[in-house]
Amino acid sequence: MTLARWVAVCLALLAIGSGCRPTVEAPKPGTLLVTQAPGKVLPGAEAGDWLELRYPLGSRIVRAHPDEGLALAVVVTEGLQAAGSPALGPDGKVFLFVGRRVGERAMVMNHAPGKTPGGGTPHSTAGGTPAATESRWVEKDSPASDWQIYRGSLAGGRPEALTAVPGGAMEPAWLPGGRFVFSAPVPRCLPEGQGTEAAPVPALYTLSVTGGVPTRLTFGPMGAIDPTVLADGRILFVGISPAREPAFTGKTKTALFAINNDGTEITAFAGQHDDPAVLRRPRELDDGRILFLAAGVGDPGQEGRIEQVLMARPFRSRSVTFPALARGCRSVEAEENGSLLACLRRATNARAAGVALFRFTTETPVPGEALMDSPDWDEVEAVSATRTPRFTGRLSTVDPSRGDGSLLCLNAHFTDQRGSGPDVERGTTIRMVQQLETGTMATLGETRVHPDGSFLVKVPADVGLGVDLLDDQGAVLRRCPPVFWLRPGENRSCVGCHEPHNVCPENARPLAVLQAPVDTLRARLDPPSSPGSSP
Amino acid sequence: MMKRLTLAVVVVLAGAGLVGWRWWERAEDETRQRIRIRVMDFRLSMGWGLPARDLAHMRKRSGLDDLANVSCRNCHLESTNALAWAQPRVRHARPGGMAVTPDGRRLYVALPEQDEVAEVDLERLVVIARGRVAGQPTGLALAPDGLSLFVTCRAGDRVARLDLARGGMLEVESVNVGIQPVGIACAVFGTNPLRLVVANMTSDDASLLSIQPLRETARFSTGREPYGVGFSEEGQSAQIVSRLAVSQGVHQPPSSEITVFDTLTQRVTRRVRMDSAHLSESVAVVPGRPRVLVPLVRVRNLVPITQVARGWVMSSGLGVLEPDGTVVQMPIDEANRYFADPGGLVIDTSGRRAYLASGGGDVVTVVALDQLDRWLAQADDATKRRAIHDLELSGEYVVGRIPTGRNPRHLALSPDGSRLFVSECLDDAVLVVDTRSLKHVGRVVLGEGGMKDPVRRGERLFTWAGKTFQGQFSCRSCHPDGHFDGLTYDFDGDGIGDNLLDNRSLLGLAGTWPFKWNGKNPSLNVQCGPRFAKVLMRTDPFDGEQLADLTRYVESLAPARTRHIADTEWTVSQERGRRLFFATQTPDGTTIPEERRCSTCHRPPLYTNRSKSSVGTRGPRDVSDVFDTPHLLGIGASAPYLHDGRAKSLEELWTVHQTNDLHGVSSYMSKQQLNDLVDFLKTL
Repeated sequence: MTLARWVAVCLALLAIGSGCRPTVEAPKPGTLLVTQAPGKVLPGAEAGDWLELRYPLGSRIVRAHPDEGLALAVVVTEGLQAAGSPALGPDGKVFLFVGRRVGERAMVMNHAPGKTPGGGTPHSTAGGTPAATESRWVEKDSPASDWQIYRGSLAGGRPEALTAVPGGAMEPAWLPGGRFVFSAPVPRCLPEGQGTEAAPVPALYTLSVTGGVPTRLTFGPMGAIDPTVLADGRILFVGISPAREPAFTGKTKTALFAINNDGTEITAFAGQHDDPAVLRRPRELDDGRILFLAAGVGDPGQEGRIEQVLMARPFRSRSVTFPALARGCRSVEAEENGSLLACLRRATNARAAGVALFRFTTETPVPGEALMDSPDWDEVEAVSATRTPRFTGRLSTVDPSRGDGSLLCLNAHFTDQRGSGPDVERGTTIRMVQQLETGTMATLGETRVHPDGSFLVKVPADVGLGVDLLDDQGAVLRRCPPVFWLRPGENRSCVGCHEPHNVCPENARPLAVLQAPVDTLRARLDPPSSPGSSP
Repeated sequence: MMKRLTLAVVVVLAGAGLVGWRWWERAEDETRQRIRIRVMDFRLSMGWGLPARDLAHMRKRSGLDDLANVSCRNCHLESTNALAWAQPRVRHARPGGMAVTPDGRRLYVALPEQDEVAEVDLERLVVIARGRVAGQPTGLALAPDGLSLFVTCRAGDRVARLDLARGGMLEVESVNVGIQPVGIACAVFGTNPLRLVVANMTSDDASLLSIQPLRETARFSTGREPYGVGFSEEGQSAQIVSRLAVSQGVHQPPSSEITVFDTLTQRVTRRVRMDSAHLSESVAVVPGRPRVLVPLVRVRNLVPITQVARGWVMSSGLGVLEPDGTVVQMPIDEANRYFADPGGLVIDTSGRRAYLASGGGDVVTVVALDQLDRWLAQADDATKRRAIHDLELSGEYVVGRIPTGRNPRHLALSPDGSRLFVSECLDDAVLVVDTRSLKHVGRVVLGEGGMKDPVRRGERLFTWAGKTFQGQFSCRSCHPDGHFDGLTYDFDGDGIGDNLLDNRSLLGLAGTWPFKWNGKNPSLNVQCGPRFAKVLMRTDPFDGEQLADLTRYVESLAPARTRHIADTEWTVSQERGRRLFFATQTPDGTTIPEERRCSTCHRPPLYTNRSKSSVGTRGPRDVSDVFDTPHLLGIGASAPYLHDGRAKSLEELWTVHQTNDLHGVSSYMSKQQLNDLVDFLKTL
């Protein structure tokens, strides 16, 4: 073939390629990405995991504008059996979501060409996605759960799978630098009391959209779900424990925690000491509030009322955002103009009633007409397609060559007085404990507390750690459960032993830093011979 | 033809060579040295290497085998004239101190960079006149009758009086005060005549001035770097707040001082210590209540910097000085948002609201003083002591945050309290805020903002906390006006508790590479780059353009001035000290080894050879005994000394921390000689 022919062929291929690629135009203001779930419960569709509860078979994401109605909505997750959790990217052109491909589910749904989301004629880009009323279960294919994170384009087209995580992945959120965070694996739905020690704990991972191996960010027995990225660059998530139990039973405890984007500096954010409740889907607003859904224990966890805390004082400001709103809420998201998108049940007391999308402002205690309400679908989530995420980046302090980190406590005698109270003054020894993969606790080692209450220890990285404060007789005065961890090379400090939240340290030189850190692993092999011995 | 041309070229070259040789023979040593250095520089830059003799010389002088970061200029800097801080810079219309006339119709604004004071019509919000005041006018105080305006001239070490009675701003008299006067306030006590108190920042004292005639009647010592001045309601007692805290030892918490001065008896009546608090730049008395408010930065320099979250390094607050002399430090930050660099503070005449400008956060915080009082009334002493550490407490009394333009620092209120004026220093503007709605109602434009000037852009980055995690602090928080806070910090990059580091002034830094106490950073770009973001900012690093601007700004900072502007001659003691500094032998004729002479390492004109040395100061947790040789320009203003700040004064360098003459041969010096040496050093 001559050179001219080669050039002609290449040019032709380029032209074809560019013509096939969907053009991505900036969506007009007010455009939304809406997750629609089939409105009717399907026979035989028992949820096997959390996402099946939230996004039943047939769930999909559509791009729609409220002024145009759902008739002109475009399905942007074609080729998938179910999809949800859209997260718009920083460029405003692509979005992440969780989805499951056809044929990879335990049962596959067969459907006739159906109706559009609004009940009209099918839109051309909606092919391959079933209309809910025409669907039925027809065969059992594979027992494996395979929810994965996908990248889709606002213009439509076939989404691209970004993860291949055993056990599935869920709840993606963008991070700076083309990375995203997600939770994995997807917890299974098991009857209460049937949780097993072997069940994996959902944890947070991060991955680049260009590929690679996911990096784990959270450790220990506490599960980590519902990550969202704050404007200051931290990841806010719901910590759930015990994570091995089926979710949201009477024993379930949830609270909000924050970490840096490399998993360092795990910090209690809000809700740790509130009455038992199930917290889900935290979202930061531009006005300094964190909204989240709160439901009573025992609730399936898909719905709740909208509550909030202030970034300014998250432990002293929890309140119900719309006291007059009694309907269950599936999701709440912010728009760029300060208004909110909330997916609410249409009727107050009918769980069977569908879920529709409402828009309202914080000044409007009760939403008016539904913004989008399809008779055949539940609008369970909606995010603005023009509100791109804004957050600060951060250089990682993790040193992958290290297998340990250093923990400095400024004063183990300083406590929030819950529990043992003033007795902590008698604390003389610190025992570092680690929770093993099996769930059992193992002692790492012990070290003496300096007279000013400080101690400095070297501990293994990327494992759940706990701290016991002991008196001279070895009795436990104070116990911090294994809810924190250190990343490799991380230097971590705490003000006290279970100290009040959001307090700064005193300006004093801790005695512990005048010496090298105590290696807890070595201390385990050679513990102090007597209570009076020095570390 | 060709032969003739070649011959002509040879003749011309030979002639030029002959002229050059003769010029070289007649040239002064200094000129020949300069040319040699340039040739050496050229060879090094071309990678041609140097003769073995020169390399041996450089190894000997630098003490380093690896000459990668060593050039002839380490020792042979020709002149400081070429350095950035010696070059003229663009003068912007940055607003300084402000004063509102009693009738509320005029606002006077100091323009320190332009040596002017602007008069603003507050109805039209436009500048209607400018008056020239030489010497960097900084602080303003208006006489109660509104007929005289008193101006501190920071670069002139004087206070000027402008006569406003004739419809202009005519400087009619002036008086010399201490070094670098900044804050000023005036008051009348009973039937006594008007009096002024002036904070002299660099001489660590304050001046009491009478008005008719304008003269200094008393000068009294204050805390370190006095900055803000206020008067009690009755006008007898003055409070002077200091910017810098002083520490009694490396591991001891620092404290700054509020000096209370009785203007009638001309006595200091109280020196109030604010523990671990510093950088107070203003002070205000609460009308109708016996309280004084002071903005402050609560510093935590003794705690290893393992994180910056939760105010680990510092947080901002408001000091409440009670009549009994105790200070309750109240936070103004929030759990997840910080308002760095609190500066200007004003209180309305009703005593119900205080306004506090956060220069790093571009915000004015509004404090409801009734609510603050209520909290103070119910809190016990222990709770009050810990109040500054509670990041969720400010919600009890902070009732508003007013966003502003770049770097708000000075505040003024209209007499009826209805309008708040905020100097947006790096926007060259004054923002006008309605105090009822807390909304912007106008802006007085003084200049064009200067964002085309890389030095100004760099200053913006330097003073802006937005690049730090949650806006916790800015570069300025540790380097006020480019100088330093005088504290020692424990960075955790090389291990918790290791390598304590004394903060160093950025003034006069240009040309003094390498940077850091370990001398590992060859340039400011490296110093302020990703490592800085990782260790301190905990966010994304500055990008290339930002780094270039930041470097331009830092290099534009001139060395600290430690002598009074009028002191142009050396005293006898200083001259003796100079000879000691450059001595090559002891008084008994013993030769001082070259490597142990002051002037070898601290070589003029920057007084550094820009190399590292071991002077026997390694501490128990230091990983090395080799440290960067600091320059000595402005050394008198940068205590404490040595890499970990262990020497509280220059005297301690050769007394308490004498290291067997490793840090220069000085053991032969008498007490008088040491004093002479210190006297000389303080002139640099």
